[in-house]
Amino acid sequence: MRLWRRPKPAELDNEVQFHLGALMEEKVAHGLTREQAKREAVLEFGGTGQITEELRDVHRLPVVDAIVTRLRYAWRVLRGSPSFSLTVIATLALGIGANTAVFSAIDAVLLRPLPYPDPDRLVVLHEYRAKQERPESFLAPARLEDWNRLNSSFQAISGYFTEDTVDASGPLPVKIKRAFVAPRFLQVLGISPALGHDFTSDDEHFHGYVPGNVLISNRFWREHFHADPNAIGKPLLQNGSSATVLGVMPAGFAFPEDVDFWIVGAPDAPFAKNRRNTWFTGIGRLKRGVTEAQARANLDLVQHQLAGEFPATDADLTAESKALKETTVGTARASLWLLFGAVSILLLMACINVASLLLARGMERAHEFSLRVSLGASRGTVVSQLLAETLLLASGGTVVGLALAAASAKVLAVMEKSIPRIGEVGLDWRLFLYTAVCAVVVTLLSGLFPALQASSTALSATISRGGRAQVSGVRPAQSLLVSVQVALAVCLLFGAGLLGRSFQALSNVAPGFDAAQVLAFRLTGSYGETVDLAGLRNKINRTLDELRALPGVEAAAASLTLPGVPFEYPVEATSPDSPLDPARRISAESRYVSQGYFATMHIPLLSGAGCDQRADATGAVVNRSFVSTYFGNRPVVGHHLIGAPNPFGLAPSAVLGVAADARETGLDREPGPTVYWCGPPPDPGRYYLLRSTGAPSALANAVRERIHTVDPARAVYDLAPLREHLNQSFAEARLRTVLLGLFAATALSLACVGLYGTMTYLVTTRRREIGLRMALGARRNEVGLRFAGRGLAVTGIGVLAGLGLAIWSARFVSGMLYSVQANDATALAGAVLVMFFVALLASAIPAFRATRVDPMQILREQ
Amino acid sequence: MAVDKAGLLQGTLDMLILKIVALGPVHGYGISQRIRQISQEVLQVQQGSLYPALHRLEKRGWLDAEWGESDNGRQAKFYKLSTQGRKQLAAERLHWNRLSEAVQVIMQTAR
Repeated sequence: MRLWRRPKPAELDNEVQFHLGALMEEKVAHGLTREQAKREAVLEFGGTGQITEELRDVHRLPVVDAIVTRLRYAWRVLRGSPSFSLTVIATLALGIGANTAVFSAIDAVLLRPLPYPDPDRLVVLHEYRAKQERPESFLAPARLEDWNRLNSSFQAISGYFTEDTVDASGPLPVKIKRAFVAPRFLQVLGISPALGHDFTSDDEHFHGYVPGNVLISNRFWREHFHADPNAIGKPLLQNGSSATVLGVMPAGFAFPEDVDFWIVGAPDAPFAKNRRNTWFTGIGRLKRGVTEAQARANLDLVQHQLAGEFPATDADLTAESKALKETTVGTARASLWLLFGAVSILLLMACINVASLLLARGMERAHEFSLRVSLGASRGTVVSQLLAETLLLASGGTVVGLALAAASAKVLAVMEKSIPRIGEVGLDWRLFLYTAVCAVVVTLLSGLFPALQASSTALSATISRGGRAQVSGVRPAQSLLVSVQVALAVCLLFGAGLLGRSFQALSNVAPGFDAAQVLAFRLTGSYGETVDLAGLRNKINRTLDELRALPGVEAAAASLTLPGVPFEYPVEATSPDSPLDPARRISAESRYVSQGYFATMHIPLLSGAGCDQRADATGAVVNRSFVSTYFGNRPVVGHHLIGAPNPFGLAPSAVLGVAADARETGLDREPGPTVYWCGPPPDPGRYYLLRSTGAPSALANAVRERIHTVDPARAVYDLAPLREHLNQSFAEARLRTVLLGLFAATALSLACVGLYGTMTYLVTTRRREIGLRMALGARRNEVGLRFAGRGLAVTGIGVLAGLGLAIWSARFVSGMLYSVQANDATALAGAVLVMFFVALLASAIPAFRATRVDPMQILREQ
Repeated sequence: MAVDKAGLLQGTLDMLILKIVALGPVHGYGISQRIRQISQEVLQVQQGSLYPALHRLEKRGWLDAEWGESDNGRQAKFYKLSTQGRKQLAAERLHWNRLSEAVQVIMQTAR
């Protein structure tokens, strides 16, 4: 404490001034005038500048001084060998850059709090019926209001759902996305509009089906209102008959997703009052100090009370809750930690490379160190001097690495939009802190060992050690470092091999449908249309007929979901008129498809027919595994199925046919029992699937034009070949496979450079020995083989250790593999072979150089 | 006769300061005055040595310092001896006595 306290300059000055003053008064007392007294006092006191200087010496901190001296000297040393310094900085920059880039993604996606005040208190709520196959369901508006009113754990509860709709006011209809929100939506999130104001309680009541007030997103405001501050009170769309803009949300506010505007879904609307109608995803803000578990218990109590009041609709129902943060991260967590593990291995390898470079350099500088030691430097001085050099190098590497990370984070965000919150990646203080810690760790990892080695060499070596030693060599430590690198590289290669083989297996899977030459797109619609399901079905069929009439279209169909893109819609059903035990519950995956679906997707029908044209009757098609699971070998066609519970109130469906199994719920999932309901569900979203005779994307313009002619109020969106939709659904798997492959390749080259460097160094330092051996009769190829063998031996040890490490670490990818075992022999053998092949190359060149040594020249040099 | 810092034996100034300060809290000017008076004008400490020495002793923890009001009502920095300083003074006094005795003996026998 006393050590770190420096007197302030003013304090020193005051002390001196007091002394001068006292001297002067003494002189005045002796009879001098004030002027004379002052002059003499100053004379007697002497120069104040010198005192200040000496005081500064007194208060100087020895530790800081020593560090400055070390760094200054280190700077001179490193400037003296620029190629060495640049190599080290580049190696570390790569390691730190890759590491920081992945960490920045982890920081943004997993660590940084959500961009709302007190985000930990935000909880997502659903209804939960434990007895159902799909227990979790949306929240009924009426129930949401009851929960909000009766609970004691939440500040407020609100809810939302989104709908794709159309802006038909321009020359072409454009898809826009709106969110219907329950009352108190912004209050729960703790966000206010940047412009204008939140919904009033009047806005949150039902006023008939008339355009109400909306809050628009910042992007929508900039695109449609040119960021006009007077946009408040203007109509949302240009055609004038639409809702009025009430407020503009802050830039970057995108909850529940990137919507264009928010509108109230009033809980007191006639349709919303039915407690069976559920559509909100609930979101609540916990009161301070209340845990999620307490809140859920409280809601269950509330729900118990409601069950007494509304036994028909509210019995057997509980609340389901999840922290909002959990729901926004999704599956990216495992991938990100995997990649982080990989880049940490890379960084470790970079450190090892630098360490062996420093080791070699330490031997070259042995003379300098022993000189310093003999002149009185302590071992600590030598070590700290070397660490200072490494710290400078690591800092250089960190700065460059940070720049690399910033650049690659941008690339990552552009490449991979499927990872939630990836757009929030950016440099912040956490990242700087992280890289600073990185720099220190790197310094210690790569610098401490070589520094200790060099200083012990300095202590043992004598200055007079001539350059005439016949045998000098690579220390065991250096070989050990190379082996460690090889082990780490094998581990990464194995991991990359596993993911690669898994991804390949996924691409080669036979899905049971034919995705080639299929174009998929969606049309905007609304929940309003779904009230009349028969009418909706007619509309869809008319649209399909129009599409089928397009030249180049072979077949067309509609489906709620895309085949092969992960989506689950489990249903329970009974078959009252079948020989089946009526009490037996049938649970199956369900799909809603139009006529022509099986022909369009090339899913073969095994018996009966597909969904047909009859608009008035509903039918269903089941798949083969449905029949074998529930009907044995008995005929199923003609029996009826009815969903239980029947969420959409559909009539019993006659089974029209049996289709072959297809991987509807995801390419990586075995097909299970599936029911295809022939008809649209009450959901505005659906895909249109067109099988074309040529390239599917060539149909795009014709489709847009035809839809615009026959149905100008709808916008076409999400238009892409089905293959692209499928690829998109595996974007995360592909990204991690590509990145891990990239990291493994980098690791391989680092190990290769390490081996090459060590072998080259070995050959160089043993030139004399080699020359003498040759002069004494050793043959060239013997010498070459000796060195190559040494390289391969070092590799072999590393590979052995790497095998163990790889098998142990395979557990981290085992959950991400499809049809490949975590101990896959092919991937393991591949990793080992690649490593040996590269190691052979890396040691062949130095070995060959050893055979080129000219014994005569060596003898002359002696 | 004035004795500058070169004339004082190495470390002697520190001991003198500790001794003066041991008499009671005193500011830098007071220390130089007392050394001059008590030595009957034989020793006159240069301010250029006094203040660095004071700060060094303070930093070593032998002196404590605080600002207070001087006799003429102005703010001055007063130094006083810390517990550690008291021990140091005792050690230096012992050392000095042995040194001066030794010097005395040499000067007498070598007459």
